[in-house]
Amino acid sequence: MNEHERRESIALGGLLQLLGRLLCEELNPELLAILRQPDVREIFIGGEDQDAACARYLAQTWNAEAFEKAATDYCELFVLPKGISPLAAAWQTSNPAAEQAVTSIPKALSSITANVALTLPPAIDATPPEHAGRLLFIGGQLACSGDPEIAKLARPFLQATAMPWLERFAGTLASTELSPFYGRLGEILHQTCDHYLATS
Amino acid sequence: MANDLSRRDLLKLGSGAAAALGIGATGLPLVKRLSQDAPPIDIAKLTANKIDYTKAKPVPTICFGCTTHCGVVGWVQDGRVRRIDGNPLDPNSKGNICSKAQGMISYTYYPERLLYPLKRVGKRGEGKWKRISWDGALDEIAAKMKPLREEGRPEEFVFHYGCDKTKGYTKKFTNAFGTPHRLNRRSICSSNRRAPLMSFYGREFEWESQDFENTRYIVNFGGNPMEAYQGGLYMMHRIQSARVDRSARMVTFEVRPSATASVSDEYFPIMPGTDGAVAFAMIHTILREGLENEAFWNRWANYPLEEVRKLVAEYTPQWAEDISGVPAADIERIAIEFARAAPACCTMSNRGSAKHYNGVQSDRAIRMLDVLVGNVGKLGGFCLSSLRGWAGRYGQEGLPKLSQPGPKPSDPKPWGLGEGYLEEPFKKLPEEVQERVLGFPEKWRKSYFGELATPSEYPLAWHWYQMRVGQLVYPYIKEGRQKVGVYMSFTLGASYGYPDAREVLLDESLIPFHVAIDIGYGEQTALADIILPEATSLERWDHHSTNNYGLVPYTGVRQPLVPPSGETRSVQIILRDLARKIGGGMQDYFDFESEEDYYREWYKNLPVSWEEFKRRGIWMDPERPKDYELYERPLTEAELAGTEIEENSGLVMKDGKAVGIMRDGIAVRGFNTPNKLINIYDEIWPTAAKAVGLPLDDINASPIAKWDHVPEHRDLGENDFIFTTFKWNVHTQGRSGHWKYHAEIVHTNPVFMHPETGKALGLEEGDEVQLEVFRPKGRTYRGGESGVMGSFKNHVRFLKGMHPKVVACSHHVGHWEHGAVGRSTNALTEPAREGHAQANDLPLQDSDVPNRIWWSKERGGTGGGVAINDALPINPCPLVGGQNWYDNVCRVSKV
Repeated sequence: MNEHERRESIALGGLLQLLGRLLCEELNPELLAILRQPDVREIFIGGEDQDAACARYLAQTWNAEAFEKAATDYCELFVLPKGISPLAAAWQTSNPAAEQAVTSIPKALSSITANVALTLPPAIDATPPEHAGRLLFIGGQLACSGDPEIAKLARPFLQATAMPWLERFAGTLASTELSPFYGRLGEILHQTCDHYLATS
Repeated sequence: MANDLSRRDLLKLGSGAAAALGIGATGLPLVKRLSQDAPPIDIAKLTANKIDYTKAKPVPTICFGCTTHCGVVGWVQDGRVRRIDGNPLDPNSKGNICSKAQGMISYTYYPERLLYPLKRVGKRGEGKWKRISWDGALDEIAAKMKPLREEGRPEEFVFHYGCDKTKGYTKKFTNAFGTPHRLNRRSICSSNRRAPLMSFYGREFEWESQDFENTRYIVNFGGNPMEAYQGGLYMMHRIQSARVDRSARMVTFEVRPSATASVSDEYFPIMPGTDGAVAFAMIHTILREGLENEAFWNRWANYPLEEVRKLVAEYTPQWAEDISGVPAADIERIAIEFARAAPACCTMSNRGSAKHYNGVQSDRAIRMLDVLVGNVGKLGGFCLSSLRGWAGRYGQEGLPKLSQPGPKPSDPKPWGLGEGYLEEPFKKLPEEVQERVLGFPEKWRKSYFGELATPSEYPLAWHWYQMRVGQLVYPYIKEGRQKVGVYMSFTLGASYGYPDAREVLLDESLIPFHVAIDIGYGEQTALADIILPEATSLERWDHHSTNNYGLVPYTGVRQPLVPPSGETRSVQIILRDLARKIGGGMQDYFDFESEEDYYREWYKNLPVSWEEFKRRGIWMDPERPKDYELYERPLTEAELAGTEIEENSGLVMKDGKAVGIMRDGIAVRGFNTPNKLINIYDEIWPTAAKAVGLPLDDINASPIAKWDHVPEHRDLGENDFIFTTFKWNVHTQGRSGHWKYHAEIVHTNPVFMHPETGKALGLEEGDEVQLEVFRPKGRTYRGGESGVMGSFKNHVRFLKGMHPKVVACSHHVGHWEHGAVGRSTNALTEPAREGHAQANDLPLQDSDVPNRIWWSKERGGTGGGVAINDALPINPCPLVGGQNWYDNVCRVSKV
């Protein structure tokens, strides 16, 4: 892996870890601080259609009420059954590769964890193995490894375990009108899938 | 979707994120290989999706798809349960399973499952929640519960369960807290059929174990083991083997061509509520033909045979035909065939015969048939085998004692006046209730714990043990018969299934605080204030015991195949941790860390090692004889020591209690009743009637089985029909609506009727109809009130074999909560159902889901059925309180 590839791998890793955390945790001061980083903020509120809504959302006064509203939105989207489940389920998509992906998740994870020391924050660790956020975060951790052999695992890991159903999830999330922020998250995730995780 | 992000943009975002996350530009090796010698990971090789039996681990457990609890084996590969098979070591199911076993995989891995504790935001029922930590949730619950206990009002904590198979664990919690309010739904299900059995045979035999393996003739009054019956699978594989291998015969009386009726040798459509008439006519015939087993009757029945002859003198087959529609000639023939097969014959009955105003008496008549032909406890006959946990009970001699470890909190004190009673909660009861209770016999006064647990108008709902009257819980709370401080529901779907439930649950003045423990977000959890997500049956421990249709007691263990998903916890851990938060001594009863250790201790007296027991999942003594004629077992010398014989009755008495009875000069065990006999005649019925003011001419007051019509069936008009509900064999109550496999098989609930009935109503197949259900007329809750209880619209299906006066509809479907499968929709949200909680407002459409929920209305399918439960009146049978499901009169009109 040359220097350019290494930087790109770390950037991909950072992106995947951020996306993973945003799917596993409600917006909190730490995540907001990350989202306020100039490069991050610029991309998150980028695009003319999203600019006003997402920017306003992130720029609001984050008092207790705002955090509670954010937690309620998170729950409505990702926890309650009428939302958009971030859990892999073969029968939620017509893509036949999804069934293969779902059943490969446990095996892939056990193989990874048998060979690689991962550090999962509590919010990630509390999710089931087939949670989109967990898989993205793990992929991100792999991509950020200083060991090129491990870093190279990130893309095939996510291609095998998440890609067949992750795009469906991202696309649905991108359509939400509940929260401009999560809608934007869906778009970013969808394009991450397109640019980085597609097999061809 | 905006397509404004380039690869460069994403890299920029990622770099910024990496910096913010502290990953840094130097690419510090945050993720290290554990061993430099480990072989490279080849992701491609990991994607094989077939189960590899050389690698998958088989773990036995107990199914929880329904209330039968078959032994199963789950195959676990790479930490995921891949398949469920039957456990061949289970002597009851013998390796058979039904589709509901696979439902456990469905509900464990379905993506809309509850995984985190949730706290309500906004108004109750609004559908807004946020995640909360376990500590936060339990702290909040404990803060609400502690004052109730500390201030001497523990009874204001109400624990209400739907399906609790923890075998006493939750009772330990409620007793430790000090509340008597551990409520269930037995009366919705089976109390009407349990009461006659307990009256006849005693508390230990509220459920029978017919010896189907050896029987030659079965008369089935509305039992339906092929669809829904506690022990159904255990029964059906035996029944079918008996029929196929030994030409045993099964005759079924039913109101619809159920799955069981369909595999019977003979099926007779019968007018609902008339099974008793047919049973009486059979008794009449058997006596007329001299086919009764007079020796057995005289030896064990407490009622003279001559009196029975008088009782049934007018209950002729022709009389029964006029009432039931079953031809007299067939009634006679069946009676004779049944009696001639004795003792290798048996009756079978369940909700079909019992869930009527006259159902308790009908079942008493049906049970009398077995005594009359002397098949009780005989090879191929109507047998009684150990039901409950092994604690040295009747018939459990020689079995190792198995009990919950740790100290046992005492039961709460009964409510009443005087020493030994709790006066304070008693005095809060309405005066008429106090008066009624104070007039009860002492035995009942010592068992009275308020109106929710022991409703005073239904003393036979708690005379033998607390079966309760679950369908009255919400009306009673509404009437103020019991103040509630904290209400905890556990795997309960009352908001979906019980009238009045939603109104009460939404009222914070009646239910100030509601905690729901469940695995799915259903109609009940939607009305909670805190939701605690439970581990599924594939993720938890339980003790298992039930009656064995093979007639040798056995035990099993439910053990986790995989760890609980997400942040879910078993109810055992939830209540343990809550007890510790509440403190005040409660924690002493839950002093364990490892659940496995708790259950290891529970089973410590088994004569196999714990590891071996876990490996098998089941234990039974293979040398133990079958439970035939338990009542004829002679008393041992040790049992006879210190006894006296009561001259008149022949009872063998010890310390004021009957331990046996003399029969032909030998002291034998007798039956598990106070008089050691089979109580064909039981004064408890008129005693209870007098105690509550039920007129003695009401059929339910009779000390001996008796016939009378269901009140609202007496004057049925031409346009009146009897509405019956039933359970689909792939579903279980309202709990399985969101199980994907099962929703695919059955997701709708048409109104079934005979084609001639439809023709008379001017209907064609598929037409939409409106059903209006009327209030009952008997002496029951709001009985006699005129008017329509409720109505619903649904489509019609014609089915030959239906009784022409019956319309039938299943009650499982039509959910408005749960996810896409439960609601049978492709839209991830839908408009709020009128009168119910507001739906959230996510206007989402999943482009892939339409291909999967193929039965949705959006795809032109039948959709997910209609919720009908609100249309059915609360109708508890007098004295026993069992819900009279099948008495409902309705009118049907084309929409």
